Amino acid sequence: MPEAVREPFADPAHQRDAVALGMWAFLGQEVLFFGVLFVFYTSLRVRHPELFAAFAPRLDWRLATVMTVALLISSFTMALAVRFAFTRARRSLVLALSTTMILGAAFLALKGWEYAHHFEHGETPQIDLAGLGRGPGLATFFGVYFVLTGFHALHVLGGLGALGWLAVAAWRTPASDLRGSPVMAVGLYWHFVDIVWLFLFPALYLAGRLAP
Amino acid sequence: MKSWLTTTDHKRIALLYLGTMTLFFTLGGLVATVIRVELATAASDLVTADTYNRLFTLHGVIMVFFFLIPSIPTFLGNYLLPLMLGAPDLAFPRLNLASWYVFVAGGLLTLTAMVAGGLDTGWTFYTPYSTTFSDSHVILAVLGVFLAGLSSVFTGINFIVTTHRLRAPGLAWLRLPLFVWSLYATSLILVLATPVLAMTLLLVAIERGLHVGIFDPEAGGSPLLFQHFFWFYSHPAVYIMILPGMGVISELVPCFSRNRPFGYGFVAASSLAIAVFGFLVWGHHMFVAGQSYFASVVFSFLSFAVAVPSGVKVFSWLGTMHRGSIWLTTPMIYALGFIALFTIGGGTGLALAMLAVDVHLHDTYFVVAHFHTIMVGGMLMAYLGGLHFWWPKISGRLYSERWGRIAAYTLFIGFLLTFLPQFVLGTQGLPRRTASYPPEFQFLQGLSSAGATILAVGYVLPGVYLLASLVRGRPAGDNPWGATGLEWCTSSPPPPHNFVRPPVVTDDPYDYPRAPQPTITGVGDA
Ligand code: HEM
Ligand SMILES: [Cu+2]
Repeated sequence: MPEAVREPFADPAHQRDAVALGMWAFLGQEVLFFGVLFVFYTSLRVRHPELFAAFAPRLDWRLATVMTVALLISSFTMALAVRFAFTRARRSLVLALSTTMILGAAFLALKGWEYAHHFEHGETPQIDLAGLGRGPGLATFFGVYFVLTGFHALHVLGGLGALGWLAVAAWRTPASDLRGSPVMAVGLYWHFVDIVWLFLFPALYLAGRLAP
Repeated sequence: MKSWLTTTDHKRIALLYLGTMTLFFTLGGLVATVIRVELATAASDLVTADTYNRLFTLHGVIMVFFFLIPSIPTFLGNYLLPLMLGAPDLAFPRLNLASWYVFVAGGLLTLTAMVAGGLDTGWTFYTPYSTTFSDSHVILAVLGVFLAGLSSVFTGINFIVTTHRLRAPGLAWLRLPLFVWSLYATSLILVLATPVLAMTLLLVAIERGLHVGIFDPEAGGSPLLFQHFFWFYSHPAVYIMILPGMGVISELVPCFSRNRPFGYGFVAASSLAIAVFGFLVWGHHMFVAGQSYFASVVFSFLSFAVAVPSGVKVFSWLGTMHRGSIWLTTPMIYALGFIALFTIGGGTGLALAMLAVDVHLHDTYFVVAHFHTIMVGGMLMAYLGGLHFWWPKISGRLYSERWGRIAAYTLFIGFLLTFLPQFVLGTQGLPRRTASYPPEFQFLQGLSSAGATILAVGYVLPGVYLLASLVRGRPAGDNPWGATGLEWCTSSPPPPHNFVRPPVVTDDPYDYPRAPQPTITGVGDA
């Protein structure tokens, strides 16, 4: 017989505190996780600035601006969701969570469209295995682009999953039983993923544009 | 069976980890046996050079990622942290169970890679060999290690939150047992270093599987970048392996010297100092890899700095024994073995951290002897010492103290015989990771293989008498050693919620002169 889950906390405030700390610790590891990618980026940018000057203009910064705005608004609706969760406003909570999800999904859809576009134009990260002396070039730049944005997109996807789970749970739970801490934890995560994008946007899309 | 697989009780999860890791340790040990048999003779006659590469890689990957890194935290830490804090469980019991499942999944993936044909990159996965040239199962193996890392992160987060939020009333930070301090410092490293390895391994898999030129110099990538990433994790990882061991020793020495720990505050702080400094020395693995001369000098200097907090601990153990009344039980023999071998291992680490010396010693048997002295001589002694110390608490039974001592001495002698010759081999210039070697090294290699036989006996013995104690051991009582600490205030084994009444702490830890008398009888000179 499976034994019941034992939560070792005395009261909800204590639990909320612990969940917040746990989420912050998790975000600490996320910073290091993405840190590797940014060091990879910096290393390439320092050694081969010409790649960024040559190929970054192929990225569509207008599209990326739209995506950025979508994520920023989604952060706002997420913040509202956290507030509604703690005030037990069930309908508003479901609404805020769904809006956040729609905006996140829109971001991913645009990203997917952009990827497809790159592949159509042969802007792929694969290097030519056979050709020796092929040297750094288009594939190198698109390597860093796809790896960085790819890991970010996976995090957005994970966030959507968590949001969906929260929305369904909120839909099913009577308002009096709503618990704020899961929403707060997912909220922290969602903001973090947005912030990562705020670094990726200039680092990739705007790189090399000011080069003489 | 099902109640075990769905349990969220930290004590049961700790035992699940113990079982799993014992299997991995046995597997890694069997492979080591084959390696030592091969090395008993100068020619590569038992296995081919190619198989040999796969064997030492299997040994290294299993022992590092599936035994040493999780060993003390996930077994003793999992079991004891809530007890020492006076808490009913870890902060996130379900996350704890999930970490075990992720760990097992990682282990299975890695084993699949090994069964499907093996891995020949060494545990270090250096590029471009791993990404381009190796024809072994790199992707499967790195995904397995990635999962093991994820489970480490879960454990680390759980320990950090538990230590912050679930201390019993009155248990201020400066009243925490030193083992808890060391677990806390370890958890910080687990959470902040592991993601770097995780991402790096994913990048290796991406480069290899999708042909993205991340570390490939031909395509503008940098193999040196891989080494920086790898050691940025892996030097802190050596402290993941040793810090919990130091914590165990800091519990054993006061108990069996019947004395307060010398310089409690310094020992607690040194754990944190090691965790922080450990992040700043990774370049000492890359002195001959082409990093700048300036970087090498700085890394060399910082490596010396990190030895200071380690020295603080050694002096604290010696100072605790000084004027204490030493009680030479099985756990204490392990503690003494640890202190001796850790000092040798750390000292030879400093030798390696000297630039000019390392040019000669890099990639020789000296390095092999250095890290085995700390990891096997130090960490494994601490693990076994802790296992013997808390076994009566965990199982409720007493094991045969006589056999315990015999095994401890056997291990110590076997260890010295196995690894001291390797220091000499290294200074004579024998490179590591080769299946055959020039005949003039035959004698020392033979000595090392002979020592390994003794070591093997030493490892089998505890398996036998500890299991036997479950059937015929005498009941242990709540506190056989007369130790301080909340874990000894509850029954052996503890009830499901650890304490019948939640404890309240009113005193500083390690009040040894006033501690309860040992209830164990017939053990040595008590
Ligand atoms: C006083 C602290 C220490 C110092 C200064 C130190 C220094 C070094 C240096 C300089 C090397 C590189 C040698 C070379 O490749 O040429 C090395 C290798 C190594 N050390 Fe240490 N070490 C210390 C403690 C430890 C500890 C505590 C552990 C493990 C628990 C450890 C495990 C290792 C391992 C596994 C390697 C070899 C990695 C490989 O190349 O496969 N060291 N150490
Ligand atoms: Cu190191």
